[in-house]
Amino acid sequence: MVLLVLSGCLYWPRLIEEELNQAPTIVASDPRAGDPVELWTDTWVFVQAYDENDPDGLEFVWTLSGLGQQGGAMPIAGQGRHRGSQLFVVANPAYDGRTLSVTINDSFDGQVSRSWELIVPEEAP
Amino acid sequence: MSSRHPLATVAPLALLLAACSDMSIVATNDLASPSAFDTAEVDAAEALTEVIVDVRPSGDADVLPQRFRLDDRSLWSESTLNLQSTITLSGSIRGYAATPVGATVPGEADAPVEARITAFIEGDDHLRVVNSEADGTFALDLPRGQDYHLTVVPITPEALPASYDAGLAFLADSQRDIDLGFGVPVYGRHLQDDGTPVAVSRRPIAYLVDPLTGIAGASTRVDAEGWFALRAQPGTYTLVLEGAEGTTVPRIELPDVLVSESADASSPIVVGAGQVDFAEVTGRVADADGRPVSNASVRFTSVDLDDAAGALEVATETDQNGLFSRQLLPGAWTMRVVPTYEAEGEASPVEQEVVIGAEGSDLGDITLSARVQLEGLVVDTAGAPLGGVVVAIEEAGFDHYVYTATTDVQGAFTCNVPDTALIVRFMPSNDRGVAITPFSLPRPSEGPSTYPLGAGALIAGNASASGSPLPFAVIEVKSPSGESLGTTVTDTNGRYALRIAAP
Repeated sequence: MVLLVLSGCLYWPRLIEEELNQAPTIVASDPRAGDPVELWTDTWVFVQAYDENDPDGLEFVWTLSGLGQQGGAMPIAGQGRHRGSQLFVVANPAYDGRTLSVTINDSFDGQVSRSWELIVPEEAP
Repeated sequence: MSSRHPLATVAPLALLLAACSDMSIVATNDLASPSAFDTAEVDAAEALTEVIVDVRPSGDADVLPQRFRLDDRSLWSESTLNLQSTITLSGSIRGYAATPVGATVPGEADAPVEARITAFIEGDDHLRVVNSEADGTFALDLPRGQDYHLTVVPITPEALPASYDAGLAFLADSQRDIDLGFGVPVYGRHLQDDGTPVAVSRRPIAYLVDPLTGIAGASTRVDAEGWFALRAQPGTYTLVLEGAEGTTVPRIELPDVLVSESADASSPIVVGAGQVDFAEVTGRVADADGRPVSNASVRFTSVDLDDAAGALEVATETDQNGLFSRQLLPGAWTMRVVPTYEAEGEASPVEQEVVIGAEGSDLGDITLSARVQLEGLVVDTAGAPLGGVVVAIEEAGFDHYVYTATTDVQGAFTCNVPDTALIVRFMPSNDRGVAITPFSLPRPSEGPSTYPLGAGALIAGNASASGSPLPFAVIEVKSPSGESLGTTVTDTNGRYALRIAAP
């Protein structure tokens, strides 16, 4: 009876497997989330991301508030599905109070970002 | 002053070694630019017998960045980088205020000093810096270690000598109280050839630099008559006079200025400025299609000034019409025009020599050449294509902007780049069995069509702190002269591995 119903009365559409993109996640950074970048001297800032399905497609975009995209970011050779990027930030007094951000995009509109406040302490006159 | 690198003159100190129980740290000139590469394929690791490894922990780790030296190639493929724990150096800074409030005799008052304290290990460019509080107290975290330099530069009051110490060991939490004392007066006059000081609005600042560390003491601005007065501990310094922020007076360096207790106070140092008479320079920056380029940085570096002594760098920006104007001293200059960074921009930076006359100059249109496509195929030594390789393309000069691409499954890449000298670094992930390899291209059009990556030399090991693995730390391998050979990260177990280009 069941076989009869399945074979004659119901239509089974073909199943199509869809790969859902998994957005990148940030696994580490220096400074860590929430801490400022204290520019006592010129400093490296870095971020590392993990992407389950698109590590080679990751793009790191660094911006400084009011000054736009920063052009000196250098990729870090990855391990497995981890990728990284680092930016050398000069202790320029004009950067005090600005926000440094990095946005990590994958090839499928997945995105994650992190921001830090820049602090440039007073130096000797 | 902020742009001066505090270790700018440390290079002569290279190869002074420091030994710790489980790490060795080498003094190295870490300031060499990668643009120093001058061969088509950069065999930076060729004939290397040692490498420097900089470890930059993530912000979640409780250890500070540190440097290691692998001075035996047998250590390259398996080494343990055990980062030293963090200790705290605390103390206070005091000095003698030259004009103390409420004192009856000037110079009598012993006062707390707000100062900048800098500590670094010989040959390691990881500086640890803090300012003391208004009451003179400070606390500075730094890695446990030996052969530290410790400098103290007064901020308030400023008319005090700086302090420079070397050969210090900080192996546990320590207390150090520093008295800057009176020092010895160093004074002089900055005068033009005609015997007059420069215009009041252009009065330069004067300061002394410790030639050993490159760290400058407190500065003072020369007065309306050109006089300046500084204080320093006895020693040999470089005296520098340069334009204060916002002014443009050539920088003059007088090396080997001897400061001693027995100095003849009646002998001021006379610094000849030549003749500082400015002329107006104008121009317009346009792209290859003649359109104005706004917000471009226009920088001038003096090559040979006609009448003024010293050297000078000045900069300005173009307005929305691509126009700029700047006062310069007559003479020969190198002009660099750098457009703002855009990953898919249209203009390339340019460098050219210009001569400025006494009456000024209109430089006319300065044309930035168009960006170009850099293409290539990345293969292993057997000719097999290498997909998924990150390509980092860095300008070999100017602002060292970096443009990135990733090779496709056929090993091919293409990237929109400036039409200028480039360093192209291929950065395969460490499980590919090929080396991070840089190539130097005089121009994009002179690059090869195929870039072969060899196996290179393996640099691998574990990074740890207090016996625990150090995950997610950045590992950068450098040559002894400071050229970056490759960068990777540690995994969750503190394990790192990368291959650098080497025979």
